[in-house]
Amino acid sequence: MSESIMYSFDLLDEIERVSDAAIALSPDQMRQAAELSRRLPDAEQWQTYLNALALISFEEWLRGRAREVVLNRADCSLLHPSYAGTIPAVCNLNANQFRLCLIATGNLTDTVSVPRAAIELPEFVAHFYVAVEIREEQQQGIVQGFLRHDQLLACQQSHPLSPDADQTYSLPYDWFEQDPDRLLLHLRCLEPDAIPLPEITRDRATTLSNLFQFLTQRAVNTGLWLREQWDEVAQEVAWVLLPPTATSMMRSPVQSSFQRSPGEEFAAIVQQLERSGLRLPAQARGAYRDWIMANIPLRLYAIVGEVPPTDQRPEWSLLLVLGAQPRTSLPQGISLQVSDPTGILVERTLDSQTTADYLFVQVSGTWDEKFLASITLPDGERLTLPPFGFQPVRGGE
Amino acid sequence: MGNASRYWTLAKLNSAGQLKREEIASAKAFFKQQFPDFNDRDVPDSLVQSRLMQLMSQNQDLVQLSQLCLRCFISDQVQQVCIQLEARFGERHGFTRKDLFPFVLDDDGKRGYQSFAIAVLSNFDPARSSLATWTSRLVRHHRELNAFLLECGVYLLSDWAILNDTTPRKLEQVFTEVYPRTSLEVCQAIALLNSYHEIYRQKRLRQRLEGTTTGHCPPPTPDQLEAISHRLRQKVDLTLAPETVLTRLQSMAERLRQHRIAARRGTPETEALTTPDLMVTPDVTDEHDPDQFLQLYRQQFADCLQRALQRVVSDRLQTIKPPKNKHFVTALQLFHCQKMSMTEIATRIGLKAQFEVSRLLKLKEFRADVRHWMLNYLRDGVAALAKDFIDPNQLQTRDAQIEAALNQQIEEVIGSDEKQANTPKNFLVDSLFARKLCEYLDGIG
Repeated sequence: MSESIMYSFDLLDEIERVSDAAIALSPDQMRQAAELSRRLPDAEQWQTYLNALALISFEEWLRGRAREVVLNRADCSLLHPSYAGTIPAVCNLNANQFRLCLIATGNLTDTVSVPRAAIELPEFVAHFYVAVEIREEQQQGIVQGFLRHDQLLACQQSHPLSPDADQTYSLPYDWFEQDPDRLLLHLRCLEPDAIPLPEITRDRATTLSNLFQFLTQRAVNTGLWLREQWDEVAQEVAWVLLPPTATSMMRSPVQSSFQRSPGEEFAAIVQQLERSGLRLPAQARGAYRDWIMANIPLRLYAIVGEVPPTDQRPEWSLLLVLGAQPRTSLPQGISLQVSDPTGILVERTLDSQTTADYLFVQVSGTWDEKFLASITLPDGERLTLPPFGFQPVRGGE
Repeated sequence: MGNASRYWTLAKLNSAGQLKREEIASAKAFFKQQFPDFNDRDVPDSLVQSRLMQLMSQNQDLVQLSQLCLRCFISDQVQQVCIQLEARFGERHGFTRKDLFPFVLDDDGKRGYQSFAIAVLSNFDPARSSLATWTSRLVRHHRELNAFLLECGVYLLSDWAILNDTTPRKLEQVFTEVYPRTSLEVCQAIALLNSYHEIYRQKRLRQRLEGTTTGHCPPPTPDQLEAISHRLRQKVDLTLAPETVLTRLQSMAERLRQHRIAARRGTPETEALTTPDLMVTPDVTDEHDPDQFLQLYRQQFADCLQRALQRVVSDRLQTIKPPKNKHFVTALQLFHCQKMSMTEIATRIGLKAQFEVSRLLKLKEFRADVRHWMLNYLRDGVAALAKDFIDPNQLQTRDAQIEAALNQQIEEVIGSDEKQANTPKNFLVDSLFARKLCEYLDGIG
């Protein structure tokens, strides 16, 4: 069956022509791009390599067409170590004071994957989203088309899109103006004010870094914990699932012991919390992870479960308990913070008045809501964990 | 149904590099003896090929003769593919079948030489495809032939470039929407692609760093296949032998390739020389009507055109490396002032084919640059026009108007049809664009 599909085409259709618009890249330029990607973790290297090829192609294109357009790559995300691997595009490239976002597309594409951060965060938003096709094997780049920010907003309004699991939006290719000459027209003749961009408000450091995590990182799907399953994100950050007995033990007295297991310790904590009025979902599951932050051995427990829905929408709750590993204690001034994309929801700090062994925070929301936890040490060192999400049932299963 | 003589006529090159077709008596006698029932004109190829392959593997005495028959068939098919390539791309890209033959038509009918035909036979499986299709596939995937074609401006993406270029999400989409698969099959395919990416792309990046690749993506090495197989076992508990990994990856690439061709057919191809649809929405609040805009600035129009032409030509001369910059001026002059076709221009300035001239001139881009500079000069000259430059849509309207005004004069030269673009026979002698350009070129020439 499939053979007949395969060969119903004229075999010569497979042969491609070098486009007149193709920009030939030299082996040295290919090497530079590979060099740029080398600093990043393995999993992020290929995309970064393609992004670097997109940047080099675009620079070559402008050099050949519009020498008068001043290009400045100093601020672009590709050259910024903390963004290069997490934003799969080249954001904040400056051309004649316009902000550009280059997206490396492949040969098979009918959509252009634009990272959420480049659309939703004012710090990374662009006047023009530029699709650059990269033909790695042929050592060619082709500036394919572009989308103005105002047109993007208009398109999104009439055809709302939701982000994919990899934190990008798949924009239909036909939203893009497929004549790159028009991009030159804008760069040459227009003033940047002509395309209004959202303003960057002041003092956004914390909000921005939280939002950035939400928009670039895949969430840990804690919903799978209820099914004894792990997703890749949870594995990467070394969560250890507590046995279901740990939650049932919460309801029976547990003997205090110096060498108790994390499950026993957790049961004891929950017992304490329940005494002070906290309610846990009936079918809850917990997990913990240990790590060391500035020489302080920390342990974080997370317990999740379904809670009775409001407005017919299923909800979940997340309880986080931050403690120290056995035989150590939490430093004064440490704080635990939980945020959602709108901002900080709860913050607890261990100060001299509230001497306690643990900091705890409980939040709840609908299944599509995600939460982000950060831990800040007294000296200001901060760790933000990948977001927590909750999808006990995978779409389509 | 095929012609039986294909199984005993060998197409080969003589020492002068010329194609000769030679009937091989021993092959003919053998074929007639093996298949006495077939009419010479209606041979069931698949049956014959399976039988010959079988004889090749089973019967020691008949190995040579059965192989010879198949090699004759392959030589004919190779010749056909080269002729097709020439017919489709040869003229525009400056090659003939004679340039292609030496890469793939290297079987002289004798023994002991690892010819292309032997390579074709070594992995041929009559159960999976016909020998004609299989041969065509290997011709198109022939590495040196591809390198040559790429120099001429045409190429075939390798299977490995296609896989490098495919995201798991895209694979999922193609496999669920286009070629229905069970969800288990889709999961396995995604795991296979992921494992391939992990192993192959890392190596590719290293080779780019070291400068040890010519560009073409070679098939994964046995070590890489072993590593991919290992990753699969770890990840999804799927055990595949390295050879199976290879064939699965190849057939995955094949599907993706066909999907791509189908998708491309669905949407009209945008070629560099076509005039794109104007995305400009008519601006009802616009105070100027288009004609008024052009009328107002008619006096300035010619002047700005001249300045824009100067600017764009001199910019090009700075970016195009010598000696190509000389060629550029000459080609521009021959095309616009002497109305010569691009094929003629190619011969005149020592380039191989029309496509090289069109890549050198990039006429569509040239025109766009001229328009943009005109707009800039018009804005500088006329203060009242400045407000048109505040709004992106209005700016596009102006650009489109100038385009239309210029097009009236030059559209016949740079029409959407490529063939038409090769021959400026409809060129309007009195074109302002051409007159100004030629004046300028005469001045610098």
